[in-house]
Amino acid sequence: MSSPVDPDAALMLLVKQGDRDAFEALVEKYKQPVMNLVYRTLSDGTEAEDLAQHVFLQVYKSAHRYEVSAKFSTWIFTIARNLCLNEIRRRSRHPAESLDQASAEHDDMPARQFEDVKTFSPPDSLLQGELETKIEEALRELPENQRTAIQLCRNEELSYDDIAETLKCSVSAVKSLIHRGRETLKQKLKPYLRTGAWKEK
Amino acid sequence: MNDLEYQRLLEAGWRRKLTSEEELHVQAFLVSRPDLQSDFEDDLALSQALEHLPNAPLSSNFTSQVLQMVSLDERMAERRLKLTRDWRWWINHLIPRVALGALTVSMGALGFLQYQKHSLQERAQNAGAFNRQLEVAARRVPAEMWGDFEAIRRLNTGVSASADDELLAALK
Repeated sequence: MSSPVDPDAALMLLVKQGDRDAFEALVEKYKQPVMNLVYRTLSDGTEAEDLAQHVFLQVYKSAHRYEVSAKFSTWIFTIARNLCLNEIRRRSRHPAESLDQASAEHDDMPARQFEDVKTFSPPDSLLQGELETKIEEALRELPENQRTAIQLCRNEELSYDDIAETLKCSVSAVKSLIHRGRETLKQKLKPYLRTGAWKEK
Repeated sequence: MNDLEYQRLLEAGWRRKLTSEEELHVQAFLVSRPDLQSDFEDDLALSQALEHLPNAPLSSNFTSQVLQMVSLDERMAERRLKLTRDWRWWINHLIPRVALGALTVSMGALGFLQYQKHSLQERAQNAGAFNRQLEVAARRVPAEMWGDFEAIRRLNTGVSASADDELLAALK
């Protein structure tokens, strides 16, 4: 159960009353964590962003049903995960269709604007880039529940109970998923991890 | 520190950076368990690697796009609501009137059909009665009555005061 003073839940209750500013504050706070989760599940930047936007749209549309029975973060990550799983199922049924086609009616939406956030110094860039690619690949190859558990585990706001609620399993099952996922990652990334390139400077 | 405590700190390391005190505890434990040393180092390196993974690329106008989607969705919801209202209006206002009109026309048509049926029946009845009278007349008039036909017909040419006497004379 969540604490009654969860600030995000309080914001969500304002959204329930139609407060757009509260909704904007929630989008600002959760856009990156949600996008990270979706991106690493779908592995396609454009579709991941479409789906992340749909997560927030879903949050807004479901606001009238929102009850403070769990942490807001648990709720939004559950929505994000469910939409990802739906998308994966949809892809397996219709492999050629893209989400862009489904949202063709949104043609009047502004085009996306990306800024380059990668700021490696030239000597580090090759090694760093390779390591990132390897770890992204290794993450992608993990089963969905292990990957999601590992990602949510890095979010300090979520307790194991919250992750268990998001993944609809027990806390011990969550720990087991994380353990197995990390063991697989360690096996795959061993040569890279031992270079020490990740050690904090 | 025992294995259980080591596991607890290892799990804590999955979620956050261990404090220097916690790391010292682990290092002290690993002196007695050198078989776990490399595994712990790999685990630590993996945590750092995951920590340093860059964020997924996110467009700078993400929030405004979401807000626009929300507005668009609200407009569509309003449109759907309006359609529903329009449909309800049709059901509540127009359909009863159309039904009343249809009922009136049906009643009129039914009345007209009934009238036609009744008048046809009446005509048929009249024709039947006339035929029956003709048959009765043909059957009952005796043939000798036709013998006085010419005398009676002549009476019509001029009516006089002594018509009865003339009739009697003619009949004699």
